[in-house]
Amino acid sequence: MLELLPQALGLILTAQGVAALVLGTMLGIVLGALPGIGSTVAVAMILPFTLTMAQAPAILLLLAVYAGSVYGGSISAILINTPGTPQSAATCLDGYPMALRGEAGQALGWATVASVIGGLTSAVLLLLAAPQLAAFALNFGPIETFALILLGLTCIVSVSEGSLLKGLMAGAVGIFLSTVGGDPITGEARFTFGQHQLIAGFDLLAVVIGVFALSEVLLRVAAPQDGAARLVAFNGVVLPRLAAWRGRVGVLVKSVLIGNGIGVLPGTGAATAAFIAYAEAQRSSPRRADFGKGEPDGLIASESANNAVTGGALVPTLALGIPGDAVTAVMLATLTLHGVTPGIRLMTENPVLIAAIFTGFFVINILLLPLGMLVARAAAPILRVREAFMLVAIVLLCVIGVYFVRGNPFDLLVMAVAGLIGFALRRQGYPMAPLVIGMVLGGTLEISLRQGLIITNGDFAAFFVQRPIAAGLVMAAVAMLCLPLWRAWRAGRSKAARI
Amino acid sequence: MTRVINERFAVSFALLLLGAGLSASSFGLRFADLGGAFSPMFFPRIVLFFWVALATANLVADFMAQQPPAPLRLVRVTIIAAAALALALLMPHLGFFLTGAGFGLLTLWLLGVRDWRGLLLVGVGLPLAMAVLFSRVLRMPLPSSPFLWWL
Repeated sequence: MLELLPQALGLILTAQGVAALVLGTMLGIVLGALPGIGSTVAVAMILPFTLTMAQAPAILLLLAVYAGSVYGGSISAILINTPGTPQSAATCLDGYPMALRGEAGQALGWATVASVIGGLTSAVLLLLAAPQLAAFALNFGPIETFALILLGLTCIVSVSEGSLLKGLMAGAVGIFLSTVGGDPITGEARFTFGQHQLIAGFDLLAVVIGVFALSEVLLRVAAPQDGAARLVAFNGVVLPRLAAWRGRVGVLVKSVLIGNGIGVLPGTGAATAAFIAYAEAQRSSPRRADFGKGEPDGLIASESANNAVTGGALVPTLALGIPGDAVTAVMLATLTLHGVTPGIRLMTENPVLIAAIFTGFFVINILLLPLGMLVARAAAPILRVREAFMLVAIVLLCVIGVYFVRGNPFDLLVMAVAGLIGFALRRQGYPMAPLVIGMVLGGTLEISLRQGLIITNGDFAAFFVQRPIAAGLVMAAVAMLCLPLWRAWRAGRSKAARI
Repeated sequence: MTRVINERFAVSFALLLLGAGLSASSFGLRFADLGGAFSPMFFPRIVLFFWVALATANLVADFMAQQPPAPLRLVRVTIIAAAALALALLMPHLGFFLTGAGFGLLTLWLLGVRDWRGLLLVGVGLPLAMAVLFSRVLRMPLPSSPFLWWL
């Protein structure tokens, strides 16, 4: 990979590339700080701006917005006790009490340094793990691919928020949506009901923007927030002194490892990582009694873990074409728009571009430090912007994004209907990540299953008897499905024991 | 009766009906009879089988759970959802600026914005700025209006 560095830098060090890194990170921080937007919507909103850009800067812009938005969520979490992104929910627990004590700058300083370290370690993980995983996956045939996707989908369903049943239901809807249109083997149209626009299938981004962004707007309209948030006094980020880290490095190392480990697992996401890291820090920190009252260890744990997820989540996305969460599903769809097909051949077919992505991801995480300090101060007054203004801006940008992808007015209708359906489903607790990821992976799942059955003459049992890798992956998938049931059974037992 | 007919139950029931309808339609579609894994309906029928089974299980679970519905400002949501749908349908014909401004003004008004400067700045100014940015600066033309052809 190192031998490709000069060529990779050649792609990055262009006017567009540098602008993408700097402006993308700044924009990501601002969008992440605005409550209600979140990383998924931020990446979707930025999509139309990338369509006229060259391939490498466009991808770098998306990565910069992604990483920046995860950090940006901490700004509103600390200053107004409202996480800008779900990933920063754990940051509120100690960040806001610190801000109330008049230490908002210090709290953001701890959050900034922890985020940068978390992000940088995840960039190392991405650099080391993604090529190895892709090289291993080159041995995969259709049967192993089928088993791998099955495992990815069950991971996503079993660890996503809400009930297992609703997650599975959303996943089934997503996989079904991927079957609408031409059959991948015979080319015959399925479930188009005479609508010629459906022959190419549903546009993924129209569905994603509908179920995430438009439904979010409707959810906020349905249950509005209470008035304008109260902003605490804040005069800029104050970085912690080196001596202040004494006794806290252990928390940082543990949280970074948790974030990286969880990031690689499909479906878990940064919010889960942040809460697990926070809980572990609370259990093991010598200052555990101060947790929840403005203890920097809590901030270090949540912020380093959620930023450590970013690179980890990109590992299965880039190496296998299996998105780690909803944000990386949107990233995957937008990469395809820019002529990059994530998956096992990506590393061998586009080595320079991959080197540029890895290098750019390092640079973005380094930029988080100066730009975070700069933008946090500027972004604080933006937090006072009325929610109504933001909602209108989100809808208009989403409409533009969907329109520009294919220039097809039918996609606008798909987005609007997906938004209404997403609103109805989300109100009842159906998670949208399995739906989107099911739609992304459904096509490959179908083709690998059908090819596998053709290879084995229709013998499904041969999938597991003759293929040890596939058998192992399917067993892991079954275990992942049983995990929530086991957790529920254990919770029921402990509840019964307490009674 | 309200225990049976609530929003949660209605959504689960709609999912079940949709899945059952799609399953039924999959048997009515005519394809070349290639059989087994070659059939275009092989995979969708498996997925729809799981869809119907899961929707039934969800329906039963929702019926048993009896969770109170989340508060909903029905009129506001319905109007804004209809406005979003109208924006999607009319934008290719009336152009981005006109439909965007219409959507913006209506939404802001419904969300309680009464200050004329806010209404003008965001309701009209934002779609105008976006139209100019994309059509003129980025050279990515948005649908233009038959009345305001320059936007």
